[in-house]
Amino acid sequence: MAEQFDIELSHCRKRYGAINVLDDVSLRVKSGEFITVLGPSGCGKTTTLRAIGGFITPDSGHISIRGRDVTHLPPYKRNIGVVFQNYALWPHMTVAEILGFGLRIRKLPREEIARRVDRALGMVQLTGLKDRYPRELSGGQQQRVAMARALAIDPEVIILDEPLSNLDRRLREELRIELKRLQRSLGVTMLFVTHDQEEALSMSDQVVVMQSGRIQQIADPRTVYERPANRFVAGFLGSANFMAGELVQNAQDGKAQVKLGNGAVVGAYAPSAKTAGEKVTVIVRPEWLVLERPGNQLAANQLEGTVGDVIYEGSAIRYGITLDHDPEAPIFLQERSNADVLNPGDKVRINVINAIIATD
Amino acid sequence: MFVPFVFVILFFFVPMAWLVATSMSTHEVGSPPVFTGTLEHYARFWTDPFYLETALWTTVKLSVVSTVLALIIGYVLAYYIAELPAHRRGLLTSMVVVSLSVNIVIRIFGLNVLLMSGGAVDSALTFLGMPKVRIMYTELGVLIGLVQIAIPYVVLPLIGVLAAVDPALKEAAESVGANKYKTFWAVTFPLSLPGVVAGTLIAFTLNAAAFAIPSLMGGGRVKMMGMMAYVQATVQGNFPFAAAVGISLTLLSIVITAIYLFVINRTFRTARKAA
Ligand SMILES: Nc1ncnc2c1ncn2[C@@H]1O[C@H](COP(=O)(O)OP(=O)(O)OP(=O)(O)O)[C@@H](O)[C@H]1O
Ligand SMILES: [Mg+2]
Repeated sequence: MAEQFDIELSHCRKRYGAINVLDDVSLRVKSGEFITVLGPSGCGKTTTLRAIGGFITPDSGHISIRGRDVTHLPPYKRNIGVVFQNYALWPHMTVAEILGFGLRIRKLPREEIARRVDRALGMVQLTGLKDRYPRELSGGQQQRVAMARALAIDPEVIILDEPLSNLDRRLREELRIELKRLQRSLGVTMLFVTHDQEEALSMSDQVVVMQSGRIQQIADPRTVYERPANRFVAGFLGSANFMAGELVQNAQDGKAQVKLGNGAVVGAYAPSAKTAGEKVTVIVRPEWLVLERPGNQLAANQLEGTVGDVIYEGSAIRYGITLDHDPEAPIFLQERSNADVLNPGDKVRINVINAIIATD
Repeated sequence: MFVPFVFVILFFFVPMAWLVATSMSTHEVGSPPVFTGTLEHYARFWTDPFYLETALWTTVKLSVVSTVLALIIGYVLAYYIAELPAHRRGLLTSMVVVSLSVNIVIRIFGLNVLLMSGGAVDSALTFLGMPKVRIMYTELGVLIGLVQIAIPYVVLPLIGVLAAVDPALKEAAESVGANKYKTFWAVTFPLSLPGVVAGTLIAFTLNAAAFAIPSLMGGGRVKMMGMMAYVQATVQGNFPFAAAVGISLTLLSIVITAIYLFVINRTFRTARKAA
């Protein structure tokens, strides 16, 4: 028997007018996994989530939850917990009524409902707010109630649409940790939609990167960051410098040597086979560049340039650097801020410690 | 700020005060009413079984029933309109508004043509082999008239509140297991209550005071209080009694409205608590 997944989308397509909002979307989520769908605005994240929740039906393709085909089931027959972006708390109900609503529909005995409402409130640390109405709660508390409502029905999976994006930064980071801890301790499968790459990288077991309705890459956070499948993924997650170069020898086993414009040779990861002499673009993250004190000899993997912008970011400093050999394509370099600070106009030498050959 | 107050005092409170004063004046045929503070006209209306059983009961019955029917029909219509995409919603909403602006007498004549003996409804019933029913100049005819007059007043506020219900609230209900029916009663309907109350209050107060419809569609047989006051004032020339009937009607509307609001408040408090 094939392995069973908690969420499985296969070849889902959805079209609104002339645009393919979902273009052959397939993904599988194992039980207990936390998977994030990440992508720019309008790439189809919410549409993916709404298809899983049953609020829209894909034009073609299949969706199954724990091996059960739910493609054409209405939402109320799916047993999926949903956390909506604006929380969607019923304004005319108290917190206890909101959490108990799904349980009353399931015709559970009164004491059982009370017990499960209390338990759900405990999970999100809201005990004592049972009789409040949504408008009497802060944004963070409303978010927790929305979470508790999804948990209270004991769903097979929980899907969340940018649940933290309406909160201020500090609260967002707090809730991020809390949500992840809750998910791990309950072992519940979650699919989380966000456009915030930090959120995606810090919380997920798997990250799905989408663009224009297509999945660009599905992998664990380290892989999507350090081994992005293509230029879009590299640029969308974190920042990336792109440099032109030429392959020194055939790329093998993912390893390659690339000669950059000034003759510097850097080791790079090659996602696919390439032959020597081929022109390539390499992706270099700002923190893969390290400042070197100027010396006499230029080492093999070094570049030279002039400092332009100096951007202080608190924990780090980011320098915009114009390379001597290619002034047309300035790059960014990131350093911890406790190092000596350079000034615009300073001459620098840079070690390239890691690079990736971009595909397409 | 000053002008609106003067306007309201001049054109609302002064006539009302004059009406109250008239209702407490003596009536002598051939001489103008003289204010004496008498309550004899009220006593006559509220003790005579003729007035209570015909005018009062007919008025309450027809205005309440027509409001309930207008609410049911209007709710379905408003729900349908509110679910439409915004551009088509605008068109249908303006059609409702236009129907409001058509003169009431013209609307009644339209209904007459439809409902009179040998009219479209009558012919259709005959064609279907149904027994002949008289609609025009009966209570049923007046009721139909009242319902159709009231519907736009119910529909308009309801479109507003229903279109304002965040669809995510309904989806959230479905996500925890509520089917369309339960979602409606647990989420959509309670959230539309302000529109229900606004629409039914307008419909009820208008219909309780209805004058044109019972006159033109009741053929003098269906006696509602508004019409009776008119007849007393213009045909009998009994202004004080007409005024007393009018004031009684106003008080009756206020009392029924108060009871209605009280019951609505209570049911929706306790229904929630009990659930
Ligand atoms: N009901 C609809 N009718 C027409 N177009 C739609 C509809 N729903 C979504 N779209 C379009 O589909 C595309 C994807 O929308 P979706 O809401 O899935 O994006 P998203 O990735 O969630 O974006 P965001 O980060 O802004 O929430 C958008 O171009 C949007 O305009
Ligand atoms: Mg979205």
